[in-house]
Amino acid sequence: MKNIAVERVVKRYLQAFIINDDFIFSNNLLYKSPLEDILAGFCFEKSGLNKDGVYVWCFVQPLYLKSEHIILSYGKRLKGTRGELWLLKNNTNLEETIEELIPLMKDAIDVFLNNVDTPSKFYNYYQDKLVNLRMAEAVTYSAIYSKNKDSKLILENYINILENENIEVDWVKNLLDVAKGLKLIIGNDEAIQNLFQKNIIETKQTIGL
Amino acid sequence: MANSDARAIGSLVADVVAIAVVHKAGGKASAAETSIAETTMFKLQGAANEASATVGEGSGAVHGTKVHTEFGKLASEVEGVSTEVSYKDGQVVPYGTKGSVRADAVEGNLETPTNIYDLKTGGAKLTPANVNKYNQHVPSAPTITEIKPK
Repeated sequence: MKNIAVERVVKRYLQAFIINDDFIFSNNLLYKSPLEDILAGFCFEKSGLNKDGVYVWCFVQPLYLKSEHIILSYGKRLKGTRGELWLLKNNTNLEETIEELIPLMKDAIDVFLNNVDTPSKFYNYYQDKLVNLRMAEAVTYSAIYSKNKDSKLILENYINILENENIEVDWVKNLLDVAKGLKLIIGNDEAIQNLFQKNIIETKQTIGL
Repeated sequence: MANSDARAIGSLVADVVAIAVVHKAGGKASAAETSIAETTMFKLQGAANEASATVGEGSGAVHGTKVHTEFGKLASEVEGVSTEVSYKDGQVVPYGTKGSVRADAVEGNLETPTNIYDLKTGGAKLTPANVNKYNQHVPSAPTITEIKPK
């Protein structure tokens, strides 16, 4: 489904999110503004198999985690009565589809987005959900960035986890290298904030926000 | 072939579970995990058979895409399965993200998937390179399974 088709649907049916909730729509993303350190909103992900369908994700992305792309790991696909794929084009029942989608989006804002849209909230929400290395990474960075009093210990635990992983995998080795770099400056608030602000700026630029 | 015929064939594919190509990145699944996985695999094999029957005979990329599309519709109805999920460097990413790998069907939580199912049509096969790419990018070392329509 082309971006322009998604944009048409958003403009026609989802304006309330933009007007009432201060969301912005750009590049198939409908996200909260002002955009500061966490991208929070919805991603209308194209299907590779159905040209009329999208997967609607409610997600957050901590921008202080340097990234060259959108990350959907911290979120979920919205699932309707017909599954996860939402037909927003060539759908004779489009209005019904939208009527089903909107309450799910509102619920996702209340139940999820509003509980994870700051670094400290993100940490609190995910600290006991460290299901994989990327989750541990995001939680650790959120603790450090939000000046959690246990940041140093959290970072050390994270490094211990990484050291027991297979660092022959490039991205795992990179996580460990960056974490060790963080350890060198963990007591220096100014250096930490500078690093994370740089990550935010670069990530926003790279993913076009 | 009518869909009902395809479903009937789908119901006879338990033996396919035994011959499907399965790759586990690390460790062994428990008996309970194996049982659940086999149930899902059974349903997805049925979905692949039905998809192939719906599209009809053919070959080439266009035919393969049609079978994948039908499979996607059917697989999305299987409990605990998500279709078309992209991963890169241990993260879920949107379709088309440079360097990502797109799984046809994923079983379990997307952050800790237990099984990845790769639909192969025609003469295509799950290659070691395919498996390596999944292992590189998908978190939690899931089992990688080839599904081929019968």
